[in-house]
Amino acid sequence: MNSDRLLNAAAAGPVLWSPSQNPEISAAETARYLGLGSAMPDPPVQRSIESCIAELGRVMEPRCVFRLYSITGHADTAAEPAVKNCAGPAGEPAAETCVELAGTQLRIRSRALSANLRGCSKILLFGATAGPGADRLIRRAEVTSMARAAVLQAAGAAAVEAICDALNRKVDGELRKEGLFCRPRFSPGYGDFPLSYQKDISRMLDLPKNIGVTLTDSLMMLPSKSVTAVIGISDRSAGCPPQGCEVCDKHNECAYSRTRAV
Amino acid sequence: MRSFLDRLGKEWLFCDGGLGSQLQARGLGGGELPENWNLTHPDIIQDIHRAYLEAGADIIAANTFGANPLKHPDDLREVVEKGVALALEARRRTGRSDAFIALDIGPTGKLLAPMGDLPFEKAVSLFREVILIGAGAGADLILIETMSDIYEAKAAVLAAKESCSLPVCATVTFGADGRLLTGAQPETAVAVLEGLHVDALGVNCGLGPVQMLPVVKRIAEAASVPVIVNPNAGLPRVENETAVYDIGPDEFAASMGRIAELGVQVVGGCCGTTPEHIRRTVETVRALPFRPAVPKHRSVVTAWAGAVEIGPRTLVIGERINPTGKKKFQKALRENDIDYVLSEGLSQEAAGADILDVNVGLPDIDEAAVMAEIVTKLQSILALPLQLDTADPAVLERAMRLYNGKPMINSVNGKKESLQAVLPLVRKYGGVVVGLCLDENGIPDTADGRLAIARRICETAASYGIPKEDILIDGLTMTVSADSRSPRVTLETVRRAKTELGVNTVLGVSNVSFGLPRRPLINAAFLSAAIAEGLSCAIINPESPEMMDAYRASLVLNAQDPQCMGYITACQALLRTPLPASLPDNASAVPQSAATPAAAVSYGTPAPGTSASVLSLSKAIEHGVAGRAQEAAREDLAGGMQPLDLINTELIPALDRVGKGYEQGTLFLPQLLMSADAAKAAFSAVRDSMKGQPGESAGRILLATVRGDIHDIGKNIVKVLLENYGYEVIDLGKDVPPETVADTAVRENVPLVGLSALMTTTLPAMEQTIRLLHERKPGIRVMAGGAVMTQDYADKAGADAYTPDAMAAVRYAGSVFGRKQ
Repeated sequence: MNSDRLLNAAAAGPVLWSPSQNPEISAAETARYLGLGSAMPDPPVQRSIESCIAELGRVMEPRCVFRLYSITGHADTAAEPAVKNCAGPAGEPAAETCVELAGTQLRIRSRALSANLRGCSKILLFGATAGPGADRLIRRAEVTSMARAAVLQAAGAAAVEAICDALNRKVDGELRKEGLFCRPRFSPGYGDFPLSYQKDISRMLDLPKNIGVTLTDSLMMLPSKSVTAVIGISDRSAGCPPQGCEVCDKHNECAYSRTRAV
Repeated sequence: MRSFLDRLGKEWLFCDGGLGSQLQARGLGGGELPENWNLTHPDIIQDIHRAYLEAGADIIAANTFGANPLKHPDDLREVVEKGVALALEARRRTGRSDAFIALDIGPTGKLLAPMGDLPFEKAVSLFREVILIGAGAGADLILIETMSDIYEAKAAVLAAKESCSLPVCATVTFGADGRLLTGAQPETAVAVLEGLHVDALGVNCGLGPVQMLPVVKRIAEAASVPVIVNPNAGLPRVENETAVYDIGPDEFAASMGRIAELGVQVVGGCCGTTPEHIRRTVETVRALPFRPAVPKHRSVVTAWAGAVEIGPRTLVIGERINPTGKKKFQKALRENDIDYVLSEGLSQEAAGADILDVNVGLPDIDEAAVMAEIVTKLQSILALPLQLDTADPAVLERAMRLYNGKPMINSVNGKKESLQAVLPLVRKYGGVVVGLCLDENGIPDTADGRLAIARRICETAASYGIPKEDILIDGLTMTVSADSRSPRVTLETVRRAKTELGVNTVLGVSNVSFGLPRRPLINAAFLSAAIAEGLSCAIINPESPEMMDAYRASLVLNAQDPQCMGYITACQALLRTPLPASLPDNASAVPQSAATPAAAVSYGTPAPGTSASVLSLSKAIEHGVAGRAQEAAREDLAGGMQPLDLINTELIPALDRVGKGYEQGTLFLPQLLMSADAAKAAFSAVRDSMKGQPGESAGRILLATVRGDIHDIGKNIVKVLLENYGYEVIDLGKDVPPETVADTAVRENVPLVGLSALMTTTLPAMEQTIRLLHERKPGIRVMAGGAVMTQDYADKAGADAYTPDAMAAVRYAGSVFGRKQ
């Protein structure tokens, strides 16, 4: 699709996108997901990581879908436009920070997300997956070698992050042409952004039909190497936007965090 | 009035266009369920149907696409009945009594097991509920559409066939890469849907008409039943705050004209198409000459992705998944060691099998349950079609229902009882069935006699509506040492089945050499002779180099290997196989790791200054060199070392050193697991040496991933480590209900249970399972782990121990069973 139509179409409905070639899976990120922290893998582990990345690269099928929403309440005031105090249902805290999506009944109740979206007029909702082949590959390996399965598992996590990065770059490039800027992507499960919103996101993006991503009853995504997230869009640059771990308030207790204080 | 089936495939028929996009244009909000408008905006729904009828559509899909018990738990009946009623009413008001109302069935939005969490039979029952209501409400046909998983399409078609007698049409959605999201190719979709006897099949949504052309061409070339094509009107964009699609009615109609000429019988539109698109399409396509679908007579089996055509080249059916005469395999089946069976599948795939025979018949196991589990698990790790091999029709039916694709079936024979039991299953579920040339009178000793039975099998099959291309005649291989004429009879049967009956053939080859020395030599020569006679499929051991050599050479000599490329490629691969002498060849030393070529890579390396072939067992384990670990264990045992001494003085201390390194943070998970893999390989050598004598168990532990969690790699890591330390692990798998965990713990009287939870959403299930365990079996210990588990959560859930990683689980098990580690 022509780039000038990409965002226009995303305002009308879910838009499918795949990188023109499979993004490179980072060996360093794979090592991090394996729990190596910043330690250098020894040669056998390094070789295993490289061979798993190569094998995964052959079976992964990156698919993304995204959709653009205005956030209601954002008028011309730049300070805290989209972020309102809204009353929670009975039993919940009376006033909580939440984000409303225009044209939908969706209100996302999350202080962390609201803070992330401060100053934003629009958001991009997206889903991304490395495809069912990654899950199959991990299951195959589990039959013969748990070591390989564990490395593939980590490489799969790095793969879907690489796909998100590729989408992020694409969207960022489109937005900059219009003088707009991306905020760091923010996923359900980060901080106090409840996992239960996965259902709404799935429905709004029609994830099963568009990229083959489904939810289990416990809100886990399948294929498992999949990500959903929100990217805030603002007319002001927020500087060099931090990504992933840095914006999550759980990063000090998470074993896989890039930024955990050791 | 002529019925739908009277007209389908005999004249142009037209589907309606987009409904969801029409509703959105009239204000349906994102995230709102379109079916609710049947109740809240009935006039709008009816207006849209009327507009399509007036535009010339013959098939109107009721507004029931998303109506299923998952999305409409409370108002399903109301929504579906009203949806059908509105379409019927629109037909009445427009006077189009010639038009047909379809109950529209879309996907559930869930992924089916084993890749997802919706069990196949549950999917069937969800669809059944909708179809019973819709058929009762007066729909003329069932239109299953927008399926992006052929397995789910199968569930929906089965539900329709089992709950009503209406015609069934099914269309699937391809991506730009020409495959369904879950991998099926057009030929696979056609084979599966035709096997289930849909009345028409085709493609809808996903793509615009121009992008759809290549897929439509492939479908029309493969299909014998009428083909339906309903594309989108291109892609949406925003104009004046509303979504419009980029292909207008005239352009759409022109493209549909080209599609119609590919051999398609039913056309219409999907997302973004409007009554005007349909009107223009009707005008354009009506002017074109109509061509009915023609039978293609292709013999095809499939898995969930690709299709394999029988006939053009002799195919190899791998025979290794079969307990007959194999003690280890029998033991694996009795002990539910599924991984052993799966690894047989992987190694045959790597050796070049086209199809895998699956036989798990043992007198003392629940064959139906084991067959279902193994078929499902094989299909979750490899893409080869399977041959379901059982003598029990009940086992066969369960496996055929659950099979993802169109299977091969082994077998039916000329006995009346067999024909009556097996052929109805083939008719219902689809498949290519092996027909054995024997009957109530035994095996005829002439080719004439065998062909007479083959003919009877084909004729009886035809009376069930099973075409000849769905039959493979087995001429029956007899033991040559018992009757020196018998191979000639078999070979003559193969040749004449092809030339006189026009059916494909299959032989199990190995039986011919029974009782003779150097059996592979005889088997290979017989295989070559059979291929020369035109054999379609050979059931052999693809891991036997002699057999694969004879097979590849015969393909060359019988014009089945153009430019000898298959032969040359295989020879080149053979030349590459030997590894440097300093490295053990893991592929040959460890059968399991030969399974995938990539997995055969040696993970570990010898310590600096040593070569792998001199590594001691403990060093091989520490360095994670699986091949050498197994070899060293064999050497030690051959040198007179007692199995238990080997375990206690070499294996366990080596694992402990690695475990300590892991706990101290000098070694990491991959190294721990490489050592675990190496220890596992050494254990298998130890077990072989004990020849079935029971080993000493360090204790029994139950492992499970709690209900709702279908991700179990962490639990599997814990299992491997515990088994390394000599514990007997009862693995209940993933997504296990609390009751099952508790029942098993009580029945098996295990002192320790390990539970894993990955998601915050499944922590309540963890808590519930622990509570039930403590209630039902006071004194039982429970260790809890998994990605979301913390000491706090574990305490709150009532766990006896929080085990953050696999080594912690090993240590805790040691403390429970009073072992020093």
